[in-house]
Amino acid sequence: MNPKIRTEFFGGIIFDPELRITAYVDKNFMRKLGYNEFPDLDHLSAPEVVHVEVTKRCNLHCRHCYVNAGCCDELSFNQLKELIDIVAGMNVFQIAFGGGEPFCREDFLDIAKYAYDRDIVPNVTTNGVSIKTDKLDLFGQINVSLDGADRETYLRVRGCDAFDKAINTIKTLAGSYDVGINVVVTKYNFENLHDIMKLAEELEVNEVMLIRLKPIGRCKEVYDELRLTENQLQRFEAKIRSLLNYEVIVKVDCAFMPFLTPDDNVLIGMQGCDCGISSLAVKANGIVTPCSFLSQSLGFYKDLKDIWHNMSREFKVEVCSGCPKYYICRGGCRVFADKYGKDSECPISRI
Amino acid sequence: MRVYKVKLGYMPDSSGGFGFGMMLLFYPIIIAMIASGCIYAAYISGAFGEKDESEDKD
Repeated sequence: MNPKIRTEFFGGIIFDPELRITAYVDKNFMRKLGYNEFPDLDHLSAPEVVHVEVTKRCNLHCRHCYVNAGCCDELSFNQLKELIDIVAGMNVFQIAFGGGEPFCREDFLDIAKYAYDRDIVPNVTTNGVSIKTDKLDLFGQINVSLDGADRETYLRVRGCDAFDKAINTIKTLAGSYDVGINVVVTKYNFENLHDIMKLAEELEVNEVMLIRLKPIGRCKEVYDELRLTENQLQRFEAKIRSLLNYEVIVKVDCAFMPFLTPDDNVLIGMQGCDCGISSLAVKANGIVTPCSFLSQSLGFYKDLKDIWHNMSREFKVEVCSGCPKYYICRGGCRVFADKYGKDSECPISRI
Repeated sequence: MRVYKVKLGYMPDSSGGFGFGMMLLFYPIIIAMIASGCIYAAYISGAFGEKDESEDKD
């Protein structure tokens, strides 16, 4: 797949799928590349990535599931093709396919192939239970959910046991494809994150993605049980920094931003909530939302382009005004702000 | 010319994650990647080729 170049109000974005980099560059840089006209916008001309929930069906019933996966309406193959056409027309770089469990859809690989053929990098997150292990070359990256380095922890967090299947899937895929591991960080696996990193190294995966538990979907019922303790929250940053010594990239959910200290490293590589800034989400029923974790409807997928340009990007959390971290944290995760008026666990806003 | 921001890797998840610590660990590699990426991008767009040729003639 060839690199994509997009002019933006500040200059442009270069996305190179082979090198796996997305670079924001200034107008002078773009002029060197032969681009001399720039859009008169105050936001990106299109998202970098659109999250597409292809189904809410799932072959597991995890107790912390943020979408309360199970059943319900989903877009048809033709509707998803139409959505992908719209996304391709906007020059979006990547689609993050999720669910539910995407591989519960018999036509999922055809959907992903359609995106690939439209020059969009398809990525997917799966529980690894029923993934077909061939014909996956088209994916940029495949992330498998694994909430513990051992069965006991996995079961304790998720409430259902697919540990062996997930491990076998990772082992099978890691030799041939770019594979990552998704970990929802809870009080039960926080102390064992080093074990997960060691396992990731052993399984030769590319990255470990640490995801913050959110009080939505089925997780509302178990949030208080699974959430990190006060002591663990205080040790969070030190713990994350201690994970950087492995030969596996550590990625951190933007919802963890309030717990991390901005430093030079942060300034270059980190940022807070991306809702409406560089990403957008489409639910299984075609409803567009600012983020896959939010249920706030912005409209139907057919209007995705208009929604992107006209959506509100104002996200003010009153208690965060004046906070020195706001410019990079952006008020933390909207899931928490919507529910509690602020990030109820932020170590700064609680003072 | 400035590079404002660089993101590494793909985005397979719905959590908008960023690579913690990657920029320090991989900084030299990133610089090389940016350079080669942009050169490739320029090659694809044909922007550098003609310009460089005309400058050589001058």
